[in-house]
Amino acid sequence: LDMQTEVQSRMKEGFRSLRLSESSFAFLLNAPTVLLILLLVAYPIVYSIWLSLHSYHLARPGRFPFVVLSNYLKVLSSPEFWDAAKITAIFAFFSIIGVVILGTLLALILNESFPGRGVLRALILLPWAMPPVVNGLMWVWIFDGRLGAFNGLLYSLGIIDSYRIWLSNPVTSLPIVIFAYIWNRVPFSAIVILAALQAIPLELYDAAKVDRAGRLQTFRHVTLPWLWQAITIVLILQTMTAMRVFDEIYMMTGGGPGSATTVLAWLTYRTAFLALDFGLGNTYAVIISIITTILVIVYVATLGHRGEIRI
Amino acid sequence: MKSSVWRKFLLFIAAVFVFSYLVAPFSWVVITSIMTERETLSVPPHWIPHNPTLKNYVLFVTGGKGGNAVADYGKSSPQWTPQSVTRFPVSFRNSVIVSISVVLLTLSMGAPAAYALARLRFRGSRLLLVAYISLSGIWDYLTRCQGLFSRILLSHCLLSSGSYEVTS
Repeated sequence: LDMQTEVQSRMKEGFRSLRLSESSFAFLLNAPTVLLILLLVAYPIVYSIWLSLHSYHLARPGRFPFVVLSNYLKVLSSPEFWDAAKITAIFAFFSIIGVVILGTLLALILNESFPGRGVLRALILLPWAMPPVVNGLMWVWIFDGRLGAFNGLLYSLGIIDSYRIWLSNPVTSLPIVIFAYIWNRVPFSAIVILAALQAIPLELYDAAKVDRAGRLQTFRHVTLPWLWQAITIVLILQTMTAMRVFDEIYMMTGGGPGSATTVLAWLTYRTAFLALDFGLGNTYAVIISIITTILVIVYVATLGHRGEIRI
Repeated sequence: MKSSVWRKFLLFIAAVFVFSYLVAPFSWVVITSIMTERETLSVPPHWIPHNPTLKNYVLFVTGGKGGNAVADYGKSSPQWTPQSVTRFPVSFRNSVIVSISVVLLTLSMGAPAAYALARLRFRGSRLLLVAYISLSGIWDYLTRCQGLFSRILLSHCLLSSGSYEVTS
Protein backbone atom coordinates (compact mmCIF):
# COMPACT_ATOMS: atom_id res chain seq x y z
CA LEU A 1 0.00 0.00 0.00
CA ASP A 2 2.82 2.37 0.93
CA MET A 3 4.64 1.23 -2.19
CA GLN A 4 1.69 2.19 -4.33
CA THR A 5 1.33 5.68 -2.90
CA GLU A 6 5.05 6.16 -3.16
CA VAL A 7 5.08 5.13 -6.79
CA GLN A 8 2.15 7.42 -7.38
CA SER A 9 3.79 10.43 -5.77
CA ARG A 10 7.01 9.72 -7.63
CA MET A 11 5.18 9.58 -10.93
CA LYS A 12 3.48 12.86 -10.12
CA GLU A 13 6.85 14.37 -9.33
CA GLY A 14 8.16 12.88 -12.54
CA PHE A 15 5.78 14.73 -14.75
CA ARG A 16 6.10 17.87 -12.69
CA SER A 17 9.79 17.86 -13.45
CA LEU A 18 8.85 17.48 -17.10
CA ARG A 19 6.96 20.76 -16.57
CA LEU A 20 3.65 19.18 -17.49
CA SER A 21 0.44 19.99 -15.70
CA GLU A 22 -1.58 17.06 -14.41
CA SER A 23 -4.20 17.46 -17.10
CA SER A 24 -1.80 17.64 -19.99
CA PHE A 25 -0.07 14.55 -18.64
CA ALA A 26 -3.45 12.84 -18.58
CA PHE A 27 -4.11 13.84 -22.16
CA LEU A 28 -0.69 12.62 -23.15
CA LEU A 29 -1.46 9.24 -21.63
CA ASN A 30 -4.78 9.09 -23.45
CA ALA A 31 -3.42 10.30 -26.76
CA PRO A 32 -2.48 6.92 -28.29
CA THR A 33 -5.87 5.44 -27.45
CA VAL A 34 -7.75 8.47 -28.70
CA LEU A 35 -5.74 8.46 -31.89
CA LEU A 36 -6.42 4.79 -32.43
CA ILE A 37 -10.13 5.24 -31.72
CA LEU A 38 -10.34 8.10 -34.15
CA LEU A 39 -8.65 5.97 -36.76
CA LEU A 40 -10.32 2.61 -36.16
CA VAL A 41 -13.71 3.53 -34.73
CA ALA A 42 -14.70 7.12 -35.33
CA TYR A 43 -13.62 7.15 -38.96
CA PRO A 44 -15.54 3.98 -39.92
CA ILE A 45 -18.60 5.23 -38.04
CA VAL A 46 -18.60 8.54 -39.85
CA TYR A 47 -17.85 6.78 -43.13
CA SER A 48 -20.71 4.36 -42.53
CA ILE A 49 -23.15 7.19 -41.83
CA TRP A 50 -21.81 9.00 -44.90
CA LEU A 51 -22.42 5.91 -47.06
CA SER A 52 -25.94 5.55 -45.67
CA LEU A 53 -26.74 8.99 -47.09
CA HIS A 54 -25.72 7.87 -50.57
CA SER A 55 -26.97 5.46 -53.13
CA TYR A 56 -24.00 3.13 -53.40
CA HIS A 57 -24.36 -0.18 -55.17
CA LEU A 58 -21.30 -2.23 -56.01
CA ALA A 59 -22.98 -3.60 -59.10
CA ARG A 60 -23.19 -0.04 -60.44
CA PRO A 61 -19.64 1.24 -60.00
CA GLY A 62 -18.89 4.89 -60.56
CA ARG A 63 -22.28 6.10 -59.41
CA PHE A 64 -22.39 7.61 -55.96
CA PRO A 65 -25.24 10.14 -55.78
CA PHE A 66 -26.02 11.90 -52.52
CA VAL A 67 -29.62 10.96 -51.70
CA VAL A 68 -30.01 12.55 -48.24
CA LEU A 69 -32.46 10.39 -46.27
CA SER A 70 -34.05 8.42 -49.06
CA ASN A 71 -32.28 5.21 -47.96
CA TYR A 72 -33.82 5.63 -44.53
CA LEU A 73 -37.27 6.25 -46.01
CA LYS A 74 -36.85 3.18 -48.21
CA VAL A 75 -35.88 1.04 -45.21
CA LEU A 76 -38.62 2.34 -42.94
CA SER A 77 -41.28 1.74 -45.55
CA SER A 78 -40.17 -1.78 -46.49
CA PRO A 79 -41.99 -4.75 -44.95
CA GLU A 80 -38.67 -6.63 -44.97
CA PHE A 81 -37.27 -4.25 -42.37
CA TRP A 82 -40.29 -4.47 -40.09
CA ASP A 83 -40.31 -8.27 -40.34
CA ALA A 84 -36.65 -8.35 -39.36
CA ALA A 85 -37.25 -5.80 -36.60
CA LYS A 86 -40.05 -7.96 -35.21
CA ILE A 87 -37.91 -11.10 -35.27
CA THR A 88 -35.00 -9.20 -33.68
CA ALA A 89 -37.34 -8.01 -30.94
CA ILE A 90 -38.60 -11.55 -30.31
CA PHE A 91 -35.07 -12.91 -30.35
CA ALA A 92 -33.75 -10.19 -28.04
CA PHE A 93 -36.70 -10.45 -25.63
CA PHE A 94 -36.53 -14.20 -25.11
CA SER A 95 -32.76 -14.47 -25.14
CA ILE A 96 -32.38 -11.64 -22.62
CA ILE A 97 -35.07 -13.10 -20.36
CA GLY A 98 -33.46 -16.52 -20.71
CA VAL A 99 -29.95 -15.33 -20.00
CA VAL A 100 -30.95 -13.22 -17.00
CA ILE A 101 -33.28 -15.74 -15.36
CA LEU A 102 -31.14 -18.79 -16.10
CA GLY A 103 -28.03 -16.89 -15.07
CA THR A 104 -29.62 -15.90 -11.76
CA LEU A 105 -30.78 -19.48 -11.14
CA LEU A 106 -27.33 -20.89 -11.93
CA ALA A 107 -25.71 -18.29 -9.69
CA LEU A 108 -28.10 -19.09 -6.82
CA ILE A 109 -27.38 -22.81 -7.16
CA LEU A 110 -23.62 -22.29 -7.38
CA ASN A 111 -23.78 -20.05 -4.31
CA GLU A 112 -25.09 -22.91 -2.16
CA SER A 113 -22.66 -25.40 -0.72
CA PHE A 114 -22.82 -28.97 -1.95
CA PRO A 115 -20.25 -31.58 -2.91
CA GLY A 116 -18.94 -30.90 -6.40
CA ARG A 117 -19.62 -27.18 -6.33
CA GLY A 118 -16.05 -26.36 -7.31
CA VAL A 119 -16.31 -28.63 -10.34
CA LEU A 120 -19.55 -27.00 -11.45
CA ARG A 121 -18.11 -23.52 -10.96
CA ALA A 122 -15.25 -24.47 -13.25
CA LEU A 123 -17.53 -26.16 -15.79
CA ILE A 124 -19.69 -23.07 -16.13
CA LEU A 125 -16.83 -21.54 -18.06
CA LEU A 126 -17.16 -24.24 -20.72
CA PRO A 127 -19.88 -22.65 -22.88
CA TRP A 128 -18.23 -19.28 -22.43
CA ALA A 129 -14.94 -20.58 -23.78
CA MET A 130 -16.63 -21.35 -27.06
CA PRO A 131 -16.61 -18.66 -29.74
CA PRO A 132 -20.15 -17.90 -30.99
CA VAL A 133 -19.34 -19.27 -34.45
CA VAL A 134 -18.19 -22.60 -33.00
CA ASN A 135 -21.24 -22.58 -30.76
CA GLY A 136 -23.44 -22.28 -33.85
CA LEU A 137 -21.57 -25.08 -35.56
CA MET A 138 -21.98 -27.33 -32.53
CA TRP A 139 -25.75 -26.81 -32.36
CA VAL A 140 -26.14 -27.34 -36.11
CA TRP A 141 -24.50 -30.73 -35.63
CA ILE A 142 -26.74 -31.56 -32.66
CA PHE A 143 -29.98 -30.48 -34.35
CA ASP A 144 -29.10 -31.93 -37.75
CA GLY A 145 -32.15 -33.40 -39.44
CA ARG A 146 -30.49 -36.62 -40.59
CA LEU A 147 -27.63 -37.35 -38.20
CA GLY A 148 -28.34 -35.10 -35.24
CA ALA A 149 -28.04 -36.25 -31.66
CA PHE A 150 -31.25 -34.46 -30.71
CA ASN A 151 -33.26 -36.46 -33.21
CA GLY A 152 -31.51 -39.64 -32.14
CA LEU A 153 -32.23 -38.96 -28.47
CA LEU A 154 -35.92 -38.15 -28.95
CA TYR A 155 -36.36 -41.10 -31.29
CA SER A 156 -34.77 -43.64 -28.98
CA LEU A 157 -36.84 -42.29 -26.10
CA GLY A 158 -39.96 -42.75 -28.24
CA ILE A 159 -40.95 -39.07 -28.10
CA ILE A 160 -40.96 -38.68 -31.88
CA ASP A 161 -41.68 -41.47 -34.33
CA SER A 162 -39.67 -40.07 -37.20
CA TYR A 163 -36.72 -37.69 -37.58
CA ARG A 164 -37.59 -33.99 -37.81
CA ILE A 165 -35.76 -31.23 -39.65
CA TRP A 166 -35.66 -28.83 -36.72
CA LEU A 167 -33.74 -25.96 -38.27
CA SER A 168 -35.69 -25.93 -41.53
CA ASN A 169 -39.01 -25.68 -39.77
CA PRO A 170 -40.25 -22.09 -39.41
CA VAL A 171 -41.88 -22.92 -36.06
CA THR A 172 -38.87 -24.51 -34.37
CA SER A 173 -35.90 -22.74 -35.97
CA LEU A 174 -36.10 -19.46 -34.03
CA PRO A 175 -36.59 -21.08 -30.59
CA ILE A 176 -33.65 -23.40 -31.26
CA VAL A 177 -31.37 -20.54 -32.28
CA ILE A 178 -32.43 -18.65 -29.14
CA PHE A 179 -31.70 -21.75 -27.06
CA ALA A 180 -28.25 -22.10 -28.61
CA TYR A 181 -27.57 -18.41 -28.06
CA ILE A 182 -28.60 -18.59 -24.40
CA TRP A 183 -26.40 -21.64 -23.79
CA ASN A 184 -23.36 -19.72 -24.97
CA ARG A 185 -24.07 -16.42 -23.19
CA VAL A 186 -25.50 -17.60 -19.87
CA PRO A 187 -22.16 -18.27 -18.10
CA PHE A 188 -21.20 -14.62 -18.26
CA SER A 189 -24.36 -13.46 -16.51
CA ALA A 190 -24.12 -16.31 -14.01
CA ILE A 191 -20.57 -15.30 -13.09
CA VAL A 192 -21.44 -11.61 -12.73
CA ILE A 193 -24.48 -12.41 -10.58
CA LEU A 194 -22.56 -14.99 -8.54
CA ALA A 195 -19.97 -12.34 -7.74
CA ALA A 196 -22.74 -10.00 -6.60
CA LEU A 197 -24.27 -12.77 -4.45
CA GLN A 198 -20.98 -13.35 -2.70
CA ALA A 199 -20.75 -9.65 -1.83
CA ILE A 200 -23.96 -9.75 0.23
CA PRO A 201 -23.07 -9.41 3.95
CA LEU A 202 -24.13 -12.52 5.85
CA GLU A 203 -25.38 -10.41 8.78
CA LEU A 204 -28.31 -9.36 6.63
CA TYR A 205 -29.47 -12.98 6.45
CA ASP A 206 -29.08 -13.32 10.22
CA ALA A 207 -31.16 -10.16 10.64
CA ALA A 208 -33.80 -11.57 8.31
CA LYS A 209 -33.86 -14.76 10.39
CA VAL A 210 -34.32 -12.73 13.58
CA ASP A 211 -37.19 -10.92 11.92
CA ARG A 212 -38.68 -14.32 11.04
CA ALA A 213 -38.69 -13.60 7.34
CA GLY A 214 -39.62 -16.57 5.18
CA ARG A 215 -37.32 -17.85 2.49
CA LEU A 216 -39.17 -15.98 -0.28
CA GLN A 217 -39.31 -12.78 1.75
CA THR A 218 -35.60 -13.00 2.44
CA PHE A 219 -34.94 -13.44 -1.26
CA ARG A 220 -37.15 -10.48 -2.21
CA HIS A 221 -36.00 -8.04 0.43
CA VAL A 222 -32.38 -9.02 1.02
CA THR A 223 -30.98 -10.91 -1.96
CA LEU A 224 -32.71 -9.23 -4.87
CA PRO A 225 -31.92 -5.59 -3.95
CA TRP A 226 -28.24 -6.54 -3.74
CA LEU A 227 -28.43 -8.19 -7.14
CA TRP A 228 -29.98 -5.27 -8.99
CA GLN A 229 -26.74 -3.68 -10.02
CA ALA A 230 -25.34 -6.91 -11.44
CA ILE A 231 -28.62 -7.71 -13.19
CA THR A 232 -28.75 -4.23 -14.72
CA ILE A 233 -25.24 -4.62 -16.09
CA VAL A 234 -26.13 -8.02 -17.53
CA LEU A 235 -29.33 -6.57 -19.01
CA ILE A 236 -27.51 -3.73 -20.75
CA LEU A 237 -24.70 -5.90 -22.13
CA GLN A 238 -27.15 -8.61 -23.18
CA THR A 239 -29.40 -6.14 -24.95
CA MET A 240 -26.46 -4.78 -26.87
CA THR A 241 -25.28 -8.21 -28.00
CA ALA A 242 -28.70 -9.77 -28.57
CA MET A 243 -29.81 -6.89 -30.79
CA ARG A 244 -26.84 -7.59 -33.02
CA VAL A 245 -26.78 -11.38 -33.02
CA PHE A 246 -25.14 -12.69 -36.16
CA ASP A 247 -22.88 -15.70 -35.64
CA GLU A 248 -25.50 -18.21 -34.58
CA ILE A 249 -27.89 -17.09 -37.32
CA TYR A 250 -25.11 -17.32 -39.89
CA MET A 251 -24.07 -20.82 -38.83
CA MET A 252 -27.44 -22.37 -38.00
CA THR A 253 -30.12 -21.06 -40.33
CA GLY A 254 -28.78 -18.38 -42.65
CA GLY A 255 -31.86 -16.34 -41.81
CA GLY A 256 -34.18 -19.08 -42.94
CA PRO A 257 -36.32 -20.94 -43.53
CA GLY A 258 -37.87 -18.15 -45.57
CA SER A 259 -37.31 -15.20 -43.30
CA ALA A 260 -38.16 -16.98 -40.04
CA THR A 261 -34.82 -16.13 -38.41
CA THR A 262 -33.85 -13.05 -40.42
CA VAL A 263 -32.77 -10.61 -37.73
CA LEU A 264 -31.62 -7.08 -38.49
CA ALA A 265 -27.93 -7.98 -38.40
CA TRP A 266 -28.49 -10.76 -40.90
CA LEU A 267 -30.50 -8.41 -43.12
CA THR A 268 -27.62 -5.94 -42.95
CA TYR A 269 -25.16 -8.62 -43.99
CA ARG A 270 -27.38 -9.82 -46.80
CA THR A 271 -28.04 -6.34 -48.13
CA ALA A 272 -24.44 -5.20 -47.99
CA PHE A 273 -22.44 -8.30 -48.80
CA LEU A 274 -24.78 -10.52 -50.81
CA ALA A 275 -26.91 -7.93 -52.62
CA LEU A 276 -23.91 -5.56 -52.67
CA ASP A 277 -26.09 -2.55 -51.82
CA PHE A 278 -23.68 -0.76 -49.49
CA GLY A 279 -25.78 2.37 -49.14
CA LEU A 280 -28.79 0.46 -47.89
CA GLY A 281 -26.69 -1.96 -45.84
CA ASN A 282 -25.05 0.88 -43.97
CA THR A 283 -28.47 2.39 -43.38
CA TYR A 284 -29.50 -0.81 -41.61
CA ALA A 285 -26.31 -0.76 -39.56
CA VAL A 286 -26.87 2.84 -38.48
CA ILE A 287 -30.48 2.11 -37.58
CA ILE A 288 -29.50 -0.86 -35.37
CA SER A 289 -26.93 1.31 -33.61
CA ILE A 290 -29.49 4.05 -33.01
CA ILE A 291 -32.04 1.58 -31.62
CA THR A 292 -29.42 0.03 -29.32
CA THR A 293 -28.31 3.46 -28.10
CA ILE A 294 -31.89 4.43 -27.29
CA LEU A 295 -32.49 1.15 -25.45
CA VAL A 296 -29.35 1.56 -23.35
CA ILE A 297 -30.28 5.15 -22.48
CA VAL A 298 -33.75 3.96 -21.46
CA TYR A 299 -32.22 1.24 -19.28
CA VAL A 300 -29.83 3.60 -17.56
CA ALA A 301 -32.60 6.16 -17.04
CA THR A 302 -35.12 3.68 -15.61
CA LEU A 303 -33.00 1.05 -13.88
CA GLY A 304 -29.91 3.15 -13.32
CA HIS A 305 -30.92 4.63 -9.99
CA ARG A 306 -32.08 1.24 -8.81
CA GLY A 307 -28.82 -0.46 -9.67
CA GLU A 308 -26.83 2.69 -8.97
CA ILE A 309 -25.03 2.64 -12.27
CA ARG A 310 -22.68 5.55 -12.37
CA ILE A 311 -20.55 6.32 -15.34
CA MET B 1 -34.19 -31.86 10.22
CA LYS B 2 -36.53 -33.15 7.57
CA SER B 3 -36.37 -29.94 5.57
CA SER B 4 -32.59 -30.04 5.46
CA VAL B 5 -32.65 -33.54 3.92
CA TRP B 6 -35.12 -32.26 1.32
CA ARG B 7 -32.92 -29.27 0.70
CA LYS B 8 -29.89 -31.45 0.08
CA PHE B 9 -31.88 -33.68 -2.24
CA LEU B 10 -33.23 -30.76 -4.26
CA LEU B 11 -29.77 -29.20 -4.48
CA PHE B 12 -28.39 -32.50 -5.74
CA ILE B 13 -31.07 -32.71 -8.43
CA ALA B 14 -30.40 -29.09 -9.43
CA ALA B 15 -26.66 -29.72 -9.59
CA VAL B 16 -27.20 -32.74 -11.83
CA PHE B 17 -29.39 -30.65 -14.12
CA VAL B 18 -26.85 -27.85 -14.28
CA PHE B 19 -24.09 -30.34 -14.97
CA SER B 20 -25.88 -31.99 -17.86
CA TYR B 21 -26.99 -28.64 -19.28
CA LEU B 22 -23.41 -27.42 -19.38
CA VAL B 23 -21.66 -30.61 -20.41
CA ALA B 24 -24.06 -32.63 -22.60
CA PRO B 25 -23.90 -30.51 -25.79
CA PHE B 26 -20.14 -30.20 -25.67
CA SER B 27 -19.62 -33.86 -24.85
CA TRP B 28 -21.45 -34.83 -28.03
CA VAL B 29 -18.90 -32.80 -30.00
CA VAL B 30 -16.06 -34.49 -28.13
CA ILE B 31 -17.56 -37.93 -28.73
CA THR B 32 -17.99 -37.18 -32.42
CA SER B 33 -14.39 -36.06 -32.65
CA ILE B 34 -13.08 -39.51 -31.70
CA MET B 35 -15.32 -41.34 -34.15
CA THR B 36 -14.29 -42.51 -37.58
CA GLU B 37 -15.91 -40.56 -40.38
CA ARG B 38 -18.02 -43.60 -41.20
CA GLU B 39 -19.34 -43.88 -37.68
CA THR B 40 -20.39 -40.22 -37.49
CA LEU B 41 -22.86 -41.01 -40.27
CA SER B 42 -24.59 -43.82 -38.38
CA VAL B 43 -28.32 -43.59 -37.76
CA PRO B 44 -29.29 -43.80 -34.93
CA PRO B 45 -26.13 -42.17 -33.52
CA HIS B 46 -23.70 -44.24 -31.46
CA TRP B 47 -23.55 -42.61 -28.04
CA ILE B 48 -20.35 -44.49 -27.31
CA PRO B 49 -17.98 -44.90 -30.28
CA HIS B 50 -17.56 -48.55 -31.24
CA ASN B 51 -13.96 -48.07 -32.36
CA PRO B 52 -12.70 -44.77 -30.96
CA THR B 53 -9.78 -43.18 -32.75
CA LEU B 54 -7.52 -40.16 -32.43
CA LYS B 55 -7.00 -40.08 -36.19
CA ASN B 56 -8.99 -36.86 -36.56
CA TYR B 57 -6.72 -35.05 -34.16
CA VAL B 58 -3.59 -36.27 -35.90
CA LEU B 59 -5.05 -35.23 -39.23
CA PHE B 60 -5.99 -31.84 -37.84
CA VAL B 61 -2.60 -31.07 -36.35
CA THR B 62 -0.46 -32.40 -39.19
CA GLY B 63 -2.77 -30.97 -41.81
CA GLY B 64 -3.04 -34.20 -43.76
CA LYS B 65 -0.53 -36.71 -45.04
CA GLY B 66 2.80 -35.98 -43.51
CA GLY B 67 2.02 -32.31 -43.11
CA ASN B 68 2.30 -31.72 -46.84
CA ALA B 69 -1.06 -30.05 -47.18
CA VAL B 70 0.40 -26.74 -46.11
CA ALA B 71 3.10 -26.94 -48.72
CA ASP B 72 0.66 -28.26 -51.29
CA TYR B 73 -1.92 -25.61 -50.68
CA GLY B 74 -2.52 -23.52 -53.75
CA LYS B 75 -0.63 -25.85 -56.07
CA SER B 76 -2.28 -26.87 -59.30
CA SER B 77 -2.54 -30.57 -58.53
CA PRO B 78 -2.79 -30.81 -54.75
CA GLN B 79 -2.81 -34.22 -53.10
CA TRP B 80 -5.43 -33.59 -50.48
CA THR B 81 -9.03 -34.26 -49.69
CA PRO B 82 -11.13 -31.50 -48.13
CA GLN B 83 -10.83 -33.07 -44.69
CA SER B 84 -7.08 -33.29 -44.77
CA VAL B 85 -6.50 -29.58 -45.33
CA THR B 86 -6.77 -27.85 -42.00
CA ARG B 87 -3.61 -25.83 -42.50
CA PHE B 88 -3.23 -26.08 -38.76
CA PRO B 89 0.39 -24.85 -38.56
CA VAL B 90 -0.42 -21.74 -40.56
CA SER B 91 -3.69 -20.98 -38.75
CA PHE B 92 -2.08 -21.59 -35.40
CA ARG B 93 0.81 -19.30 -36.22
CA ASN B 94 -1.65 -16.62 -37.35
CA SER B 95 -3.65 -16.95 -34.13
CA VAL B 96 -0.49 -16.63 -32.05
CA ILE B 97 0.62 -13.54 -33.96
CA VAL B 98 -2.80 -11.92 -33.65
CA SER B 99 -3.23 -12.64 -29.96
CA ILE B 100 0.28 -11.57 -28.94
CA SER B 101 0.09 -8.31 -30.86
CA VAL B 102 -3.43 -7.58 -29.59
CA VAL B 103 -2.37 -8.14 -25.99
CA LEU B 104 0.76 -6.01 -26.36
CA LEU B 105 -0.97 -3.17 -28.19
CA THR B 106 -4.07 -3.01 -26.00
CA LEU B 107 -2.08 -3.17 -22.79
CA SER B 108 0.52 -0.62 -23.85
CA MET B 109 -2.14 1.80 -25.03
CA GLY B 110 -4.97 0.92 -22.65
CA ALA B 111 -3.02 0.86 -19.40
CA PRO B 112 -1.74 4.47 -19.58
CA ALA B 113 -5.20 5.66 -20.60
CA ALA B 114 -6.76 3.72 -17.75
CA TYR B 115 -4.20 5.09 -15.31
CA ALA B 116 -5.01 8.65 -16.35
CA LEU B 117 -8.75 8.06 -16.05
CA ALA B 118 -8.47 6.38 -12.68
CA ARG B 119 -5.84 8.48 -10.88
CA LEU B 120 -5.50 11.89 -12.47
CA ARG B 121 -7.92 14.77 -12.34
CA PHE B 122 -8.45 16.53 -15.60
CA ARG B 123 -11.22 18.26 -17.49
CA GLY B 124 -13.15 16.03 -19.81
CA SER B 125 -12.18 12.78 -18.13
CA ARG B 126 -15.77 11.73 -17.73
CA LEU B 127 -16.55 12.63 -21.31
CA LEU B 128 -13.61 10.58 -22.46
CA LEU B 129 -14.75 7.57 -20.46
CA VAL B 130 -18.31 7.82 -21.78
CA ALA B 131 -16.90 8.10 -25.30
CA TYR B 132 -14.75 4.99 -24.80
CA ILE B 133 -17.63 3.00 -23.40
CA SER B 134 -20.30 4.02 -25.87
CA LEU B 135 -18.01 3.77 -28.87
CA SER B 136 -16.86 0.34 -27.82
CA GLY B 137 -20.22 -0.96 -26.66
CA ILE B 138 -22.71 0.31 -29.15
CA TRP B 139 -21.34 2.04 -32.18
CA ASP B 140 -18.64 -0.48 -32.80
CA TYR B 141 -21.34 -2.41 -34.54
CA LEU B 142 -20.38 -0.30 -37.49
CA THR B 143 -16.76 -1.29 -37.20
CA ARG B 144 -16.65 -4.61 -35.41
CA CYS B 145 -13.56 -3.88 -33.45
CA GLN B 146 -14.37 -4.40 -29.81
CA GLY B 147 -11.26 -6.06 -28.46
CA LEU B 148 -9.17 -3.04 -27.60
CA PHE B 149 -11.86 -1.04 -25.96
CA SER B 150 -13.34 -3.68 -23.76
CA ARG B 151 -9.83 -4.21 -22.47
CA ILE B 152 -9.41 -0.53 -21.71
CA LEU B 153 -12.66 -0.69 -19.81
CA LEU B 154 -11.48 -3.74 -17.93
CA SER B 155 -8.15 -2.25 -16.99
CA HIS B 156 -9.94 0.90 -15.93
CA CYS B 157 -12.15 -1.16 -13.64
CA LEU B 158 -9.10 -2.95 -12.22
CA LEU B 159 -7.21 0.28 -11.67
CA SER B 160 -10.10 2.13 -10.11
CA SER B 161 -10.86 -0.75 -7.74
CA GLY B 162 -7.18 -0.60 -6.83
CA SER B 163 -7.47 3.09 -6.10
CA TYR B 164 -10.37 2.43 -3.76
CA GLU B 165 -8.09 0.20 -1.78
CA VAL B 166 -5.50 2.94 -1.60
CA THR B 167 -7.89 5.62 -0.48
CA SER B 168 -9.86 3.56 2.02
